[in-house]
Amino acid sequence: MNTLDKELFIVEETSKTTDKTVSTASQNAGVHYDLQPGEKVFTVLLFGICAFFLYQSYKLWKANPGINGPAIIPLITSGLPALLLGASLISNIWKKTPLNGIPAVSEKLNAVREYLFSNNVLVALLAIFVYCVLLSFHVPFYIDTGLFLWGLMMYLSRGKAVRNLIATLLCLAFIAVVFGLLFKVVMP
Amino acid sequence: MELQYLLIPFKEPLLILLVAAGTFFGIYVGAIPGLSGTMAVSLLVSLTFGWETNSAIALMIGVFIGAVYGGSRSAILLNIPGAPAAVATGFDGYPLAQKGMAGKAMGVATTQSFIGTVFGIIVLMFGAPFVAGFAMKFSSVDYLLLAIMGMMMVGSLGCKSLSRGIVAASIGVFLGTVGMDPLTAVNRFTFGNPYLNSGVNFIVALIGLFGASEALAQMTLMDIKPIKQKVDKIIPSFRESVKYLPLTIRSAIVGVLVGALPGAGGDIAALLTYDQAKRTVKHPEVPFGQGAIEGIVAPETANNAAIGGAFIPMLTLGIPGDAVTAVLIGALTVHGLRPGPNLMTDTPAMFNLIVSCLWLGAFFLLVFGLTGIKIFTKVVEIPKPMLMPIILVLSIIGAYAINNSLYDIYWMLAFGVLGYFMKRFDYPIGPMVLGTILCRLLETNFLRGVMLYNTIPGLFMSIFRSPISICLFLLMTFLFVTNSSVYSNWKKKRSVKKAQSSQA
Repeated sequence: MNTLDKELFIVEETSKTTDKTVSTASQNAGVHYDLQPGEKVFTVLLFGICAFFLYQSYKLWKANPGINGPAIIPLITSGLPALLLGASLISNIWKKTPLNGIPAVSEKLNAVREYLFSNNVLVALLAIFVYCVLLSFHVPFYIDTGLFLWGLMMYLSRGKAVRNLIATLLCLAFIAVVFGLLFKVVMP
Repeated sequence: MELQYLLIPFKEPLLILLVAAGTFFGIYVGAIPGLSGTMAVSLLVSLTFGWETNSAIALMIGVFIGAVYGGSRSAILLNIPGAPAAVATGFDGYPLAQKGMAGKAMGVATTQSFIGTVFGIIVLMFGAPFVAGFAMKFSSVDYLLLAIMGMMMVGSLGCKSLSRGIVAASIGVFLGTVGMDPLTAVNRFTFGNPYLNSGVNFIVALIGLFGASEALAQMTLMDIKPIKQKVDKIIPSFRESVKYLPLTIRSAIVGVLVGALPGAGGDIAALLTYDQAKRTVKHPEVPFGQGAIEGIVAPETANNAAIGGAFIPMLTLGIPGDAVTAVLIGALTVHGLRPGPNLMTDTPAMFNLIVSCLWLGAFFLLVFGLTGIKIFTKVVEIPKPMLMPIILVLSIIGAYAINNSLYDIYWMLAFGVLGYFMKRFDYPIGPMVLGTILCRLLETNFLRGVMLYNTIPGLFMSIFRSPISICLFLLMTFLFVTNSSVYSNWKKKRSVKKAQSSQA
C-alpha cells in the first residue's frame, strides 16, 4: 500500500459571492421566488427574436413553398420555441420574482443589472471589446493579449501587480510555445 | 473486428504520447472548477484543425477520459465538482476529506474510474459492431426520431423544465439552418451577409457557448479561500476493491447503458448510480452523505463507464451520447469522416483507433491518477481572477484559428454572451449545441421521409409500420411524458396522498 503524507489544500467554501444579487439576498431571507430578476424580460426578448425569425421563415416559405422546401425546418424550429415562449410569458405573469416588492423602476433596473451584469462581468465584456477593437487596428497580438490579460487580472484580483505580470508573461510564453510552435496556430 | 487496427497507436509512438498528454491535461482541466472537458475538447477541435486525423482524435480522447475523472479531484478536495459528472462524488468525497481521508477518497475514485473506463471500452468493443449492424436497418424516420430524442433528453435532464430544453434545441437547429440550403441552394437568413452563406460555424458556437460563457459565469463567483489538510493511503487495498465489486459491476452496467442513451452522459449516470447505491447498500460503514466509500465507488465507476457507452451511438448512429461526443462528431466531420453505421465498414481503422486510444487513456488515467498529487494541488489552486482571463484568450485564439477571421471572434463572443444569459436564466446550453450539430442529419432525414411519404401525416403514420420506429417512438413518448411537468405534479400529489394514508 502506498502511503503519502502530503499536505493538501482544501478550499473552504465561502458564502460570499462578488455579485450580491437581490435573489441571493432574498433566498438568504428564506423567500422562494419562481424566477430570477429580469427573467420575464429575457423571455420577452427571446420570444421577440423567435417571432421575428418565424416571420422570416414564413417569407422564405412564400418564396419557396412546399413541405420539402428549404423553409419547412426553419418554420418548425422558430414556430415551436415562439409557441412555448408565448405560453411561458403567459404563465410567468403570475410568478414571483425578487423584483415584485420593489416599487421604483430605477431600483428594479439596478437589481437586474446587478444580477446579470455584475461589475466583474461588465468590465470583462468591456475589456474583450477593447481587445477585439485593438486587434482589428492591427495592434500586435502579443502586446494586445498581454494588456488584456494583465488589465483584467488586475481588476479581478484587485491589485497584486507583480504576481499578475508574472502570470501574464508565463501565459504569453505558453501561448507562443504551445499554440504558436506546437499547434502552428496563426495568431490574430 | 480487425484486431490489427487496434495496434495502430503502438506503431506510432506519437499517438501514445498524445493520449498520455491529453489524459494528463484532461485531469487538470476536469479538476479546475470552471473548466470542463467539453470546453477543452471544443477548443482542441479548432486548434488541431490542421493536424492529421489520428493525432487530433488521440489527443481529444485523452482529454475526454482525463476530464471526466479529474472532476472528482476538486469534488473531493474542494467540494466544488470540477465537472458535472463529479457532482455525486462530492456528496461523500468531501466529508471524507474533512475527516483527513482525502487520499483514500482519491485513491478509490482513481481505481473505480479505471475499472469503469475499462468496462465501458469492453462493451464498446463488442457492442458497437452489433449496434452498427442493427443501425443499417434504420430508416430515415428512425434517424429523425433518434435525433429528436437525443436533443429532448439533453434538454430534459438536469434543467428547470422540458420546455426550456425544447426551446434551446429548436434555436440550435434553427441556427444550423442558416446559410445555403444544401438541397435547393437557397440562401436562408443570411441577410445579404456573405460570411453567413456557409452557415454559422458550429465550432465557433461551441467555443462561445461552452468556453466564453463559462468564463463570464464564473466571474460572478470569485471568492474562495484554501485551508490545509493531510492526505495518506492513496491506493485502496485488494480486499477493499473486492468488497465493493458487486456495487462496481452494477454501477458500471448502469453507467454504460446511460452513457449509450443519446444525450445522457456521465453526470446523469453518476447521479443515478449514487441514488441506486443509497437504496441497495443496506449497511455502509458510514452513512451516505457523511463519507461512505460506496458513495464514491458508484458514481466514479458509472461516470467513466459512460465514456465507452457514449461512443456507441456516436460511432454507430452518428448521434452523440453526450456533449463531448457531440463535439467529437464535429471533429471527425472536420477531418472528412462521417460517424454513423458506415464508419465501421468504410473506415474500420478509425473505430479501432478510437478503441485503442481509449485503452491507452484508461491506463494513463491510472498512472497519472495515483501520482503527481503534489503538482496537482498547486494547479487546482490557480485563482479564478487569473484563470478566467486566460480562458477568454484561449477562446479567442480558438475561434480565430478556424478561418483566421476576426469575424469569427465576434461571433464567438456573441454566442458567449447568449450562453451566459442562458446559464443565468436556467436555459440548458447542451441542446442548443446538439441542435446545431444534428441539424443537417435531422433536416436531411425529415425531407427524405416527407418525399417518401408525400405528407407530414404520412411521415408520422409510417412510424407505425416498422417495429424499430414503434420502439423508438414509444421510448420518446415515455421520456416526454415522464419529464413533463404534468407527470411530475401527478407524482408529487400521489406521494403526498401515500404519506397521508400511511399516517392515517
